Amino acid sequence: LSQTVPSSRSELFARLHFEGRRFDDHALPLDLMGELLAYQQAVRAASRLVFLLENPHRRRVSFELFLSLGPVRGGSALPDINRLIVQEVRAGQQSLLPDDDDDDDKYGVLFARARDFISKLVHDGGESDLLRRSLGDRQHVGSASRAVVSAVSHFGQGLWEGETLGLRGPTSDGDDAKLTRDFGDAVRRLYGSDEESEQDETVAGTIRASNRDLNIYSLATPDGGRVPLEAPPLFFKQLTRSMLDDGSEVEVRGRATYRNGKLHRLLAFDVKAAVDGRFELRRAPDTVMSDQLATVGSLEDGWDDDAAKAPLGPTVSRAREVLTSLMSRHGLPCPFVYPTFDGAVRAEWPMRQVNAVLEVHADGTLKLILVQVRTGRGEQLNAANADEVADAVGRFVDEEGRA
Amino acid sequence: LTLLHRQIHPNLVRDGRSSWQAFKPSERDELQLSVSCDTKASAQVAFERHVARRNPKGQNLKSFGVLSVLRVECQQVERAVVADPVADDDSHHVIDFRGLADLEVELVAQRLHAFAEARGWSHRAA
Repeated sequence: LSQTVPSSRSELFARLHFEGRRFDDHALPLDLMGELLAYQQAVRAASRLVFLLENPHRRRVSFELFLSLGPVRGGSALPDINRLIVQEVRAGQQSLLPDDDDDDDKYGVLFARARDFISKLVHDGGESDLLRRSLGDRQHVGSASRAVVSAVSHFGQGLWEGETLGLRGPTSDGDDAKLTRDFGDAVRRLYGSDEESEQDETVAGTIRASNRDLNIYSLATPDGGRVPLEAPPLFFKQLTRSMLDDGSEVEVRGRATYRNGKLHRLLAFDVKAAVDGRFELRRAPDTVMSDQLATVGSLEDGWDDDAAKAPLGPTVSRAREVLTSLMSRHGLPCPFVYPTFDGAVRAEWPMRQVNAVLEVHADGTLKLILVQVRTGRGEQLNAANADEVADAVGRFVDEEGRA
Repeated sequence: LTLLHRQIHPNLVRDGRSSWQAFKPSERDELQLSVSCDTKASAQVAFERHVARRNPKGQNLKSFGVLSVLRVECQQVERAVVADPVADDDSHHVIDFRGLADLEVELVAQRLHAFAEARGWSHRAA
């Protein structure tokens, strides 16, 4: 029931010393605002860590650090960083602590120690035994130390090659610590981080079938790693049994997620495997549909050699959203996707019992046509949203299932 | 039994199969579907005439190939077939969809397409 609010009082807390040709005009590029934010985050996180280490019975903190940007001095870009003195306010009360009470700034010393901790961390190139030990904690101390690592791993991101950022205390003339753009990478190498990155790539490996009934597979990679192999709905069903045999050698193209620089999981778009002596490729329905939509989206007006309109970007995006939803909800196969002459996107599912067509128009409306193959009878549904057509699609899927 | 040939644009074909929109006339065509009558031009000749023509940008028209329906199949779906010779093509005919509601246009196009698909490609680009 308490919160802290900044007051109008402040004190000089630190100076950030940017050095490099970009700063010769004594100006601070806005690109570097991220460095200031990262600094505040780092000292905030460090203050929590220091507090929790010194107060092992506490699980939470009830203070907050607020920094503000002071004037940028000459000589190079050297902004003052001020700390706002906070007041602790409890619910329903103006303030328990008057502004002129010395106790008002009871966390000032803690924040100064947090600042010095960060400066020392930078000075030591990111090395800290305290931080390393704390990261092993499974409770709130571990969480606080991970927050420190996460914050300082952003240091230097806005710097260019050859530029430095110096950290100075309020009374220092020289830099207490200095970092370059490589600092964040060094921190990530030292401690790792929970940050993930994704990229599309092809990974070769061996299938390990953990549970075939539940479609749970992993991919053993040549470097000895083993990552969960994920797939869009229905894709595993499209793969041949031999492709998913335990021990099958495959090449998987997909979205690779890396955590701490290591492959963490893989979402398959295509799977290629040697079957009966020749390579076979299976592609996920989403991938096939995406490729078709990309083709449709790349068309220009007059694509039919006449006056046909090309579907616009928002129409293609809407089609992607609606079709993905229908395929996932009803387990539909990938439709044949193509443009109409008036700038709509049309998806066609030729089936045994029912032929279905869904048109996504430029104004976002949808038209669903279902035609009974045997009788030639049809019905049409015009709808404003995907939910309205989903039920009708569900019926046709049921009819196909019964056939 | 006279065949009527329809040029199928490559953008309406995937994995060798065409969409039924290929047999759906547009509003721009005033609901009349252009075909070539086999008595005047075979599927191959109709194809060659088509791709020799140029669009307003000066590019040759495209065709993946030719699908064909019988005149009698048009009668089955109650559509009239009318000769409509043009300057460079005396084989030009139209299948008349006028007077049909939106859904009926789709249903007729779908049936004509089904007839043609069952027959297979009459001619394909090399």
